[in-house]
Amino acid sequence: MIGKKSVVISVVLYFCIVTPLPALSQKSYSFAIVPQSSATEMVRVWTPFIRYLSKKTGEKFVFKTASTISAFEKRVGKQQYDFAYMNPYHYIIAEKEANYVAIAKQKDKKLEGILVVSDKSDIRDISQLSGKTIAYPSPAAFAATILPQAILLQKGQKNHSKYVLSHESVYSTVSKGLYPVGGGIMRTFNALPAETKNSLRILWKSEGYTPHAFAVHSRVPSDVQEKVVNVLVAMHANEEGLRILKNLKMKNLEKASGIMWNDVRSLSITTKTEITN
Amino acid sequence: MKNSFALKIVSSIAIIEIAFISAIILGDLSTLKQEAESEFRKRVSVITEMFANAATNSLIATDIANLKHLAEKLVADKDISNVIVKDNEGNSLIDMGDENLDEIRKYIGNSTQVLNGRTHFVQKTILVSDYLVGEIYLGFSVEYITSTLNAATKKTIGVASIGLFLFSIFLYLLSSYISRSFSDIKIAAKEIAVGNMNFRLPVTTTDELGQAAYALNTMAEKLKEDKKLKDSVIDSAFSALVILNEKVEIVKHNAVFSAMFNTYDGAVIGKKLSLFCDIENTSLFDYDYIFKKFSKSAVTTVRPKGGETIPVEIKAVAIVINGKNHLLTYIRNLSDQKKSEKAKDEFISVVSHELRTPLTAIQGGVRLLLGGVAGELNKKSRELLNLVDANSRRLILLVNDILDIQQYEVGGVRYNFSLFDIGTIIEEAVKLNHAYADEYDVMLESIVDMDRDLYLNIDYDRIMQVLSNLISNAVKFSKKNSVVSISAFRQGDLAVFSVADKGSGIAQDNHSKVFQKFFQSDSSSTRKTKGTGLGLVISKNIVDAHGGKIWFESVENMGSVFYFSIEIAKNIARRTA
Repeated sequence: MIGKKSVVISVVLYFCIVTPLPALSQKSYSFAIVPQSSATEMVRVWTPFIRYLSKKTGEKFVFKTASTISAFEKRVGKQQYDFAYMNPYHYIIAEKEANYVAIAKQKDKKLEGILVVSDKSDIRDISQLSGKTIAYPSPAAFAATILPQAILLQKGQKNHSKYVLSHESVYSTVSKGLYPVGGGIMRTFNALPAETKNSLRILWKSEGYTPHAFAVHSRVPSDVQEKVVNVLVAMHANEEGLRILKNLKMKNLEKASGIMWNDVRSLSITTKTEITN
Repeated sequence: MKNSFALKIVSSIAIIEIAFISAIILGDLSTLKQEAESEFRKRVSVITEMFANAATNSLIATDIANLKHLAEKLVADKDISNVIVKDNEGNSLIDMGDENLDEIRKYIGNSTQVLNGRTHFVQKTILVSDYLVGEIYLGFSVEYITSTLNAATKKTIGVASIGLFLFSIFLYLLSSYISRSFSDIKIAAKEIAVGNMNFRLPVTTTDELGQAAYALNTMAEKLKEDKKLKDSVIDSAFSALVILNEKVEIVKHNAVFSAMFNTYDGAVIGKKLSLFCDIENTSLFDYDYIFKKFSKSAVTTVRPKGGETIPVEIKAVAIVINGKNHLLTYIRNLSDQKKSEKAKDEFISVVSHELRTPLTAIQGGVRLLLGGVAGELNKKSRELLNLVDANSRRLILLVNDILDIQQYEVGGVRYNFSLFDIGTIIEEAVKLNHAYADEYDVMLESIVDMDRDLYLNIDYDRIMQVLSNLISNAVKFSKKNSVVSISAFRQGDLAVFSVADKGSGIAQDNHSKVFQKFFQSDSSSTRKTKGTGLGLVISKNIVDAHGGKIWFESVENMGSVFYFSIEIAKNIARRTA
């Protein structure tokens, strides 16, 4: 009853105090984040960032995400978002196909992918992987999937890919011997329980690649773009901004331009994306 | 009318039942309505919450396809008519249902949780960490509640009606059974009340009614036995017995009555007693006449119609039957008694004549012989003749006393009362017994310690007989040359006579037997005294007949004093003669 009452009261209060849904007299900009976890978790993590941005720029930003990476790709491809935070591969495609331009990225951050095998495995080098089935978290995971696939492809290897949905699944299936090798990243590997971690061995580690891009659609007025860039690069300089960045597991941001992702472009990735469709 | 009891029970209980059932139904329906509404609100709350939760991720990700899928699932439920989902920019992502949002908002604006008659609308804003994600509007049909309530109402009333109907039928059957049983008991009670003691109820059950019937039968049986006993007591009575009502009509009588008045049962009940007999030669008697005359038993005569006069003793006792005065009248036929008395009289007469006459002749002959009629007697002959004379005289006395006793006991003694003064009585008594005292060498003295001229109303001869009895007894038991005192003194209105001797007295053990027949103070075979043992009995009878008292004082070996008292005649001071 109390729950019901409080719902009633909060609803009534909402109508009394908060004005009906945004009158939208002011132009708002959608700010999309590539889905990395559940939508509500995304809201929880990213809305402080969006609010901060709105507050600091004086512009109105609306948080957006998609339920799947595929859906996100489609919307990027349709150029639905004014701003978008996306992985390096998405970015180079979006830049080429959908009029998005990078404006910022994490400073001093490189993405590294790893391949792990069982501690008891006799595989000692990636040259031995040809024809093997490799476990990956998901097709769109840049460091854990796209990077190893691209590298192996460059080396002329043909492998079977098996997507097991999460990094944890990759590590445990390899540990149990279901698959001989799996793709991951250092951060998630280090976070494993000791038992699992000790049963695995890092076979290969990629070079570092430019991380995710904050990109803007070319239709967004340049003054707005400029305001956003200014706020982003200055975030780590104040306490509130720093706290928000910390929650996002970022240190600081810097201004970026498209050429910074040439390392990624050089991989000649062929993975299919919905951006181009 | 036969079933009025049943109908009363059925109608009154049915009314109470209807009132109760109505109250219960109304209460139940009210509760049901509240519960249904509560259930509905709970359901609305749960569905809204679930939908909000399920839709949140899709709403954040603007996953319209999934939202649509969710919304379609929801409206597949016939109770949910509207699903509207708006994102945080106010864009309508999903809009299913007839009502438009502005209209819905009017309802919600007024009160978010109030039923509008057909559809209940709820709005929920979806926030994630204070961040507005969007809002949902859901419309729930309330027909679910109303149809449930209507169905429940119909069902409840239906069940209650069937229950009431069955209950009434059962009640009717039950009360008819009870009523019928009561009716049977009533009929039985009436039958028994009018005297049909053979009426019995069939006892077919062991319940209370069966027990009541059994009890009634037992009562009838008991009454029958009581009546039988009473009738047999009445019929076996020696007397004729008749119960009369205030009109002196015969209510009940016994067989002796029928025999006495030469009639039979059917002919007398309800008829006046005077139709069957005269009492004391009259047929003009009524209730009061009988009651006053015979409330203490009295001897009289009745004459049955067409018959001969019968000597009877009648006693009438007032009794109350059913609140009315009745007379229970005993009529005892004295004919047989009279006959036996007559036979006794004849016997006494025979004895007096047949015994006394020869005895007198014997005594006369002996006395003639002693007188020398047949010449001079020698000493031996004279002695023997004196013995014969003494014994014949004693035998005559005995016969006389027995005759007297018989007379007194049947009340056949006639007294001739007349006035005599005390002085004369005392003098005559002494004179009369002088010779007898001389025989025993005993002296008589008389003491009159009162007014000698006071009169007593007595049968002179009988009182002389009493005094002679007492004096002869005193003389007999006195020693030679002793004195017997004959006294008279006054005690209030009484004159008391006493006869005192200084003889052998009476042993204490024999005091209670003194006035019994044939009592002898000296019962030894060698006794020297002579007597019949009847004198004191006769004396007591005589004194009693004079309204007086007789008693004695005696100490063994010291002597005795016998007293008797007679009331002094009033207003007569002096002898008139």
